Amino acid sequence: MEQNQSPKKKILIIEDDTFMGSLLERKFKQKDFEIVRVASADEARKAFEAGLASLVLLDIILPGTDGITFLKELKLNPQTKNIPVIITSNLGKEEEIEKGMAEGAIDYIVKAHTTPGEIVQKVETILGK
Amino acid sequence: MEKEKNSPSKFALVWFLQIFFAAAGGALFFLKYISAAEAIAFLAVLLTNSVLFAILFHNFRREAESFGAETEQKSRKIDEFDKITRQLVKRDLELARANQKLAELDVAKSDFVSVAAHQLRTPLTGIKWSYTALLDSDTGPLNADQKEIVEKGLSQITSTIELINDLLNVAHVEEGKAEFNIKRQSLLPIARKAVGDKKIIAGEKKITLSANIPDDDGFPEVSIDPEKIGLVFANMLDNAVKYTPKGGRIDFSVNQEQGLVKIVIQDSGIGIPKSQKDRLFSKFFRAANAVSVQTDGTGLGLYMVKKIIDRHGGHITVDSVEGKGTAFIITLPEISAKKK
Repeated sequence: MEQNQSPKKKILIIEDDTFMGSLLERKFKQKDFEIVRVASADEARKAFEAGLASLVLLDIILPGTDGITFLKELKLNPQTKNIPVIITSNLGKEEEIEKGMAEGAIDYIVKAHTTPGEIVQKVETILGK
Repeated sequence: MEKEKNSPSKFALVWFLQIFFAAAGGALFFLKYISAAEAIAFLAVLLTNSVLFAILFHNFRREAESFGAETEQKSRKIDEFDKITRQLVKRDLELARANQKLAELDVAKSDFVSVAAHQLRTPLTGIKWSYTALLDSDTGPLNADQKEIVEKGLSQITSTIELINDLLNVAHVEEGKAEFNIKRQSLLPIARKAVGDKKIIAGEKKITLSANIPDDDGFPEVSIDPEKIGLVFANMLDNAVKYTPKGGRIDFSVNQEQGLVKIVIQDSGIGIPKSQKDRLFSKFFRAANAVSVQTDGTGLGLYMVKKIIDRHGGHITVDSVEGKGTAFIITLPEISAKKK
């Protein structure tokens, strides 16, 4: 696993809003994470071919394959099924959150209710950093 | 059985036999096999038979007419029944189509609210995260004036996000019965989660948040939409934290009383002015003292809470002394005691 070879934990950010993606990336880099940022599930598949990540931040509304479908795909793949996935979305209805968690997400964050700093803290807790 | 006895084929046979015997009698007389007296006697027997037969035929005709009328009436009734059945089938199909359309509209409405929420939150998130990045000095340190401006901007954005959340919640509640997913269950786990979720924000204000929630065993169930009741508890506790000064106290308790499940949220906060208690559950209403201590409320929380409680057949009342604290009392009808 790549995350064991690299001293930096690699986070894959799947976020089609480039501005929010860049703010997240900036915050993670300040905390010494390695960041791979993509805007769709297709790009995420290619990123996984290049190497696995320690954790995935996954938006739900994405161009092409939506986040929930991609999450199912990750959980069915023996190579990626154990990678923790945090859903970061501005969909916040209870049933949407329940659906994301039922599909195997480790957490569900409504972006409007949090900040990049808090997301980084959450990731650090999950990865035991 | 009578009708079978007098069937038309039997009448025709008897008629034919009488003509045959009359003709045979005439032939015998002309061929001189019988005398005139014998021929007259023969004809008299035939004539008597004919009269009897005519009476029988008349009765048969009357019976046939009555039977025909009855048949026609039955046939009309069958036609009517058939027509009604066809109409019922048509109505059933129309109803099924209407139900399907309503279900689709419900989904569309629900999807619309969900998508609207997403679209409104996304640009606000961008602005919120930008201000946060500036405040975190990600792009270099801010001077005091810059910091103050950005903090105020962030506060405004946070209020707007909160307003959108409240409006969306109210929209959900006002959407109609279809949106309430009522289940028979205990509300104790929902109460425990609500209190647990607010421990951190209460702790930040050094407020003691204590819960007096009984054990599950034997505690009555209620008919509730767990998501909506969770929203009620979260809202009540948010209010309590907002309007309780630092170092204050909030007590959340659940108990059973005279066929009701009673939830009390008691705080040592600013209280509600007596003159304004009546308007407390109105849309967009905020008490004067609440506005002065907390500028970013929307006035929708308690309105929504009351709507939800009303829809559950429950009641919410308030007991408050301005400057000393407030107790909100919610009651919901219990269903039954769970067996141990």
